[in-house]
Amino acid sequence: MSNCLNVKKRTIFLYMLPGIFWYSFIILIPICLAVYYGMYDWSGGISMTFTGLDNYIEVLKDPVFIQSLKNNIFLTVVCLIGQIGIAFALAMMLNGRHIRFKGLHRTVSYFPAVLSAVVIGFIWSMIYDYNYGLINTFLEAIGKSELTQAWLNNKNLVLLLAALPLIWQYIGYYLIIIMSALSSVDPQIFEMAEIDGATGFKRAIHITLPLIKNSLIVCVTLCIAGNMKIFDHIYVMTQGGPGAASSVMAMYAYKTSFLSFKMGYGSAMSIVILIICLVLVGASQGLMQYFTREKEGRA
Amino acid sequence: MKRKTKFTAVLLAGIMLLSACGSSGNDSEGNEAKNDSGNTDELVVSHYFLEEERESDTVADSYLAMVEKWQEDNPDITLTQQTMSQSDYSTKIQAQAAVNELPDVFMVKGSWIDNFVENDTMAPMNAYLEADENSDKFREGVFDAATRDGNIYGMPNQLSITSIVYYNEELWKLAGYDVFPDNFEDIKKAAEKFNEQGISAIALGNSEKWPAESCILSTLGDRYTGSDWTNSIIDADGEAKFTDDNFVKALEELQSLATAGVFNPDFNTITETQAVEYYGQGKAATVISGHWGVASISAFADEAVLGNTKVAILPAADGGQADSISGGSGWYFAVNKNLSGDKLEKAMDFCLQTTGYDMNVYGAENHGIIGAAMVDVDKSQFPQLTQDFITLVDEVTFTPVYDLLMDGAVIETMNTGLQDLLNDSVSAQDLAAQIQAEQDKVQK
Repeated sequence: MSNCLNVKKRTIFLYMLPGIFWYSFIILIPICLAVYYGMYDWSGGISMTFTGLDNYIEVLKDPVFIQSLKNNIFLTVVCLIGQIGIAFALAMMLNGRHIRFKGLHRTVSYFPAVLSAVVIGFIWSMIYDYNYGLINTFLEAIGKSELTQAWLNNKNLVLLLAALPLIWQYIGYYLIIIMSALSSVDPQIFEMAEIDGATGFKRAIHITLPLIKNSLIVCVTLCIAGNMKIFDHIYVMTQGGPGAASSVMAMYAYKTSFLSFKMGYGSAMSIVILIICLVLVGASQGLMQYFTREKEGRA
Repeated sequence: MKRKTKFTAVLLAGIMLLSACGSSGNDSEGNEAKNDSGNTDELVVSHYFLEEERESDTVADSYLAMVEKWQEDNPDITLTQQTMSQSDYSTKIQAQAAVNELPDVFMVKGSWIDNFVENDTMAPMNAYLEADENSDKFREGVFDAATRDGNIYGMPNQLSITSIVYYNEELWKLAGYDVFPDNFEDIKKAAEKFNEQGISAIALGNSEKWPAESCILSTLGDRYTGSDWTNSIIDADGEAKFTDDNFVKALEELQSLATAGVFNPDFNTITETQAVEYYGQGKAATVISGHWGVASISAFADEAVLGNTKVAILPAADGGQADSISGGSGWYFAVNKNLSGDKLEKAMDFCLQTTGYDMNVYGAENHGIIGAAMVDVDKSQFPQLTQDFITLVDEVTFTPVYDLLMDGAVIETMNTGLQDLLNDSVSAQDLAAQIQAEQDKVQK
């Protein structure tokens, strides 16, 4: 047994080597290449013209890119509240003493997360359909047919409507993570809190939340990273439309590269997206660490 | 305990290593097969004519029939066809071009020719065309989009006619018009009557963004600007601008059609095929589609609707003439520059036989297709709709289709902006300025 702890550093390094090799091949090298291609005016063939940092500066001034960035941030905020918020509330409910068939609830909640984004996109496109969709049919059935519209053609609502499937799909995913975090908490703490008179909402905010903060930081990071690179759902449902109202950064980079044949510009855009995501994730982690560190100080 | 853990760790590390080696091994094998230009027993061709669509796509049927015939004539050559939908094809071929892994024979769009020629990916066909006896039977100008510096790089595959008005004679008669109106005001007035009945005047399916531009604006724009303007834009010589008054007026007219309720309310959320289905089910009085509309309507529409379908062209602009529609050869078959010797001969032969004069004859005789080559054919054997279509097309001249020939980035901006224009969320002037900004980047 003691030999297990005395593993040589070289052995550790050798075991990790395949993973590092794989990672650099798949992720690091393409990123370096993208930085390189971003400095050229390249339309996808053999001829390339060096333009330095022009592409990068142009990306930051591109109005469609700015709109896409705003859309991504909007989606991230909505999903943070929707996915993690609802998952947390559900987890609290499912953790109660009186709930039966917890396993079934978990499985059913998680089910949408295993569906492909294209399937989800199609299902919800049908729900939003003008002629046969659930929403319009329901509105007509309750006599409010003047409210029917082509939902995905509404510039103001389209992003919110595109966020609904996202929220619906991934609640189960975060539910699992939070439930496992909750199960690691000593139930005696909850019993003591109940004796002291803290129940329901107060218990959730002041006792549960701080105890599972590490898992929550993980959830928030996953949520932000995932929503910054969202592509499939938007592509299937609206293709970024109408106009650029639901355009997201990954989709815009794809369109620029493959439909407008500006590969150099698209590469520069991808690198800018990467930097923005890293900054956002880093900032969110830093903020959460800061807030939780303060509480520890007081305790 | 200790040995088991060690064993598991080694196994996992080994699996990771193997998976890395395995996939890179496969890649190099694939590369070898593609770059082997000396192997004359194989030919790889890439196109978007799907076997499943032969029933409803007459061009697909004609082309695939020609391919089958060529395979019978050349049994010793293994022909591999890479087929996918047109939009997937557009993406894939660009990706393949970027890494110089194009198949032996592939389709190329007119607006990409500049790009492909710049990167030297296609073999010139001049010598082979001269040797072919039927080359002079092709219509004037069909090779133009694929010609650079006198070198012809592609065989025209089809004559894309993108702007035909298919209207339901019965429904328009009930609204008070014996034939499709010859001015836009009447269309808007009729739209009011149609909307009261719960149907749309014109079905539009613009979720993929190209129909509004390809089927409507290409012709409508020409009504206001004339073909000289369009050709100047395509040549990117800087004389014509999208911000010119004429083009802006065309955009405004298009916008006014949308705001007047001429189109179905969900026009930005359904596809072009769904719009044709709306028409076929009688939910719209008209649909503006291309040459593929003849086959789609014949295949999918209700009997009654099909019987009442007549063809027309978009009305004239105020005080203008209406005798042209957008059309031209947009898609070509090209041969990979990397081929040489026997394989090049075979590839060129494949091109000329499958998408040349013979295909036009097959298409004309069996389906009434109007192709890139002129074929004399007895019209009376075809259904009424096809006959009307041929008669109509013979009487008009063609103007360039925007998305077959203009720069890709310009078209992308135009298409995206048109969705907003039709929704009345951007003004015609602003949209014109946005498109011109993209065009400025293209100036040679």
